[in-house]
Amino acid sequence: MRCPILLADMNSFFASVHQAMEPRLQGKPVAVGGDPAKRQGIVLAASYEAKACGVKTGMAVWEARSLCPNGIFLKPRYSYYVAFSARVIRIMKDFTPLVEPFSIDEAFLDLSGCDHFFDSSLTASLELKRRIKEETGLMCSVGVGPNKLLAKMAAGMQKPDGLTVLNFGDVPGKMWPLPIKELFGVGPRLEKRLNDLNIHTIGELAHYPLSVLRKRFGLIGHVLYLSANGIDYSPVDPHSLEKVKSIGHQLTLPRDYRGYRQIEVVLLELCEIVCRRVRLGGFVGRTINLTLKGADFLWVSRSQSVGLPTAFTNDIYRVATALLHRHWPAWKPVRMVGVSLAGLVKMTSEQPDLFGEVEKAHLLHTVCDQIKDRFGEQSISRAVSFTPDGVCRNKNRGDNCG
Amino acid sequence: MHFSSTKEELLNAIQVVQRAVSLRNPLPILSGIKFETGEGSVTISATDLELGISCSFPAEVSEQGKTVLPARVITELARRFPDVKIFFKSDPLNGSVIIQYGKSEASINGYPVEEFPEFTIPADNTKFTISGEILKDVISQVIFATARDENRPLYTGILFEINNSTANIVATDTHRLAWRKILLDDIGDLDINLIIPGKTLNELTRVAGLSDRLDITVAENQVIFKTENICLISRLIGGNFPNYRQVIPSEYISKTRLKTRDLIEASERASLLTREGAPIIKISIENNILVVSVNTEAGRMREEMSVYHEGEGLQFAFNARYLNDALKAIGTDEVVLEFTGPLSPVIIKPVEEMEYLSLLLPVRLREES
Repeated sequence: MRCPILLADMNSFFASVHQAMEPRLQGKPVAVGGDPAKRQGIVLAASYEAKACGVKTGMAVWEARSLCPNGIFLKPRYSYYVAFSARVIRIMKDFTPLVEPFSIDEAFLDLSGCDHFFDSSLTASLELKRRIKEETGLMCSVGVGPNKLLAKMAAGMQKPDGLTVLNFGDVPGKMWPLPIKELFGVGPRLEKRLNDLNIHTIGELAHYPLSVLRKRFGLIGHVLYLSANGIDYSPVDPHSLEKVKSIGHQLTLPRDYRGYRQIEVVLLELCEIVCRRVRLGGFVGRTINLTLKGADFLWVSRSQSVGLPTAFTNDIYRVATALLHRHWPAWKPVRMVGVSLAGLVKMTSEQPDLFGEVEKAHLLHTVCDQIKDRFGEQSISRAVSFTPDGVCRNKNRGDNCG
Repeated sequence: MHFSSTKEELLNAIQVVQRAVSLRNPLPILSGIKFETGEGSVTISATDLELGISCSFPAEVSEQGKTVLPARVITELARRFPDVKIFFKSDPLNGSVIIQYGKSEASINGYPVEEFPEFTIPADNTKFTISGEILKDVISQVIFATARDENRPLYTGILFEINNSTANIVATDTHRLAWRKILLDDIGDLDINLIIPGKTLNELTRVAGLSDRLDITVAENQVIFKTENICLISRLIGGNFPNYRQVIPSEYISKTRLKTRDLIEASERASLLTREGAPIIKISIENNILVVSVNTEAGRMREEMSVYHEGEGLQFAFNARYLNDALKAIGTDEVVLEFTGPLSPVIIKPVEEMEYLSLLLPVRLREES
């Protein structure tokens, strides 16, 4: 098989799931978005009927409503999406064992060695689309290529219900004219930096001197250069999602917080949530990341590593606080805070300390975890959660924490 | 201001003070080096407000004065000057400094000298003297145990506990600890505790010569080290150093003597197979054989070496980096490890009788779930 790699991308996934479950929604403009009572009122997904009215993912719900007055706006139901995603993956596994879930609504399939089951990747793709449509009611766009990169690029070329093949020979004609932001792996920040080098299309990147890219972006520069030329060596890894790399949590605040004292309350609550989850997974981590968003929607994200991996709330909080003081001016209002712990490894050993502090912290966390295991996440909280700035014990927002 | 000196004298002095220059500080004046003339000498100084260094060098001074020049320019220039007599002269017209070397001349724009922070030594202070050679030796033996984590400042420092004629010098990042005791002659009945930043002592060992006598002045929250021509001033770390005495075990249940180099090399090789950030190796001792082993996702390794062991056989896991830091600091061919219990600190010390030891806590292995 010349093009054994498939990427199936579920079209308007969240909205389509609601349409598949409730026939009355079929053919109607449906948008899934945040609870209007909360601040994060943005459209997470829109059906193609809603998209026809100009509704876009990421748009504020009030804006979408004014564009599409007849639209049906629904609260997201993540448990449905997870269940549908699992059903789709199961269907894919009838085709090949090499299925790599890439996000909740996308997965790679590697059909290498399956030649005797299918005439070609194309017939396999048609069969996959038919079965997903029949068994779940969802439509998808399938991209077919000799590697993951080209399959991914191909899937984006026709939506909805697409089926596109992109082979090496198609790269100059179909990929090179596209704007650089369309290239897999290029986000807004990288786009800006590539624009600074006068790179605006994928073709311009493909012809840029490799040595300059390596100097500017390091290894990523080399990978980008290969990508622009349609080359990608990464295998379809069915276990990729099983490897946890980082665990984090973020909160949109009920109002703008001002001053370190207020922000630190939420920071401690977040560290508690994140470390609890890290410990549940049996991990410890070394790299703490703090993300803050201001009232102007500008955000900063900064990391720092500690010497020994840890999952103790206070260790993480100390670093998160230091990052806050270093990278965020005290006067600047904060709208959203996120903390994550990366560089996770399984906790197989623990370095005690001479003064018994590690042992004390270990016992304390173990007891708190046991209480939470038995009586629920809300059964024991940090005292700061009961202060006016705490968000985890605020009755309207309790679902954010835990 | 008008003086002349040789390239060598100038460059040496600049290289000493340049380590205190703060290039990434919002105060621009701190990126400068201050020049001040004296009788037959010039003193230059730099500070980042945590640490200040000044250094004097002989010069022919024909007109007194002072100025602050940008450190980056003057350092790089001094390095590149030809080997001739260098003349510095203030330009009265615009406040810049004219530097003449051979037939060439440069005019460098300086900073306003009055903005440069003064090194002030409070009158109420304590003084004593210590040999530079001993101090350097002691610092190199304990500094490895300081913490690098700036978020716990107390542990980034080294404790100097001076009482009458003895000094206990201790560093710990809480996971390990290094202790050294020295005798100080003729310092009177002094009784002080200082926590000096590890960074300061590191710089001190770089700039102070071995033969120097170091005059140490302690005042409030500052410490000043003085040699004949160098003065280093640093803030002290506040807070209470943990009670190190209570964690140093007074007896052991078994002990091993071995070749330092052998264990360093074996554990360095073994840690190649461990993951970054947690180089955990296992050590077991039985019948005068010490075995270093690892078993990780990357592979397995097992090394044996002969040792002299007294007492029962035992098994431990260690952070290899911590173990090697301690072994390297010892600096003797042979080392003694004293074991005090399965989860209690291991004492690492030289074979020779010496009031020096370091403690390392074994790693606790938790069963993988």
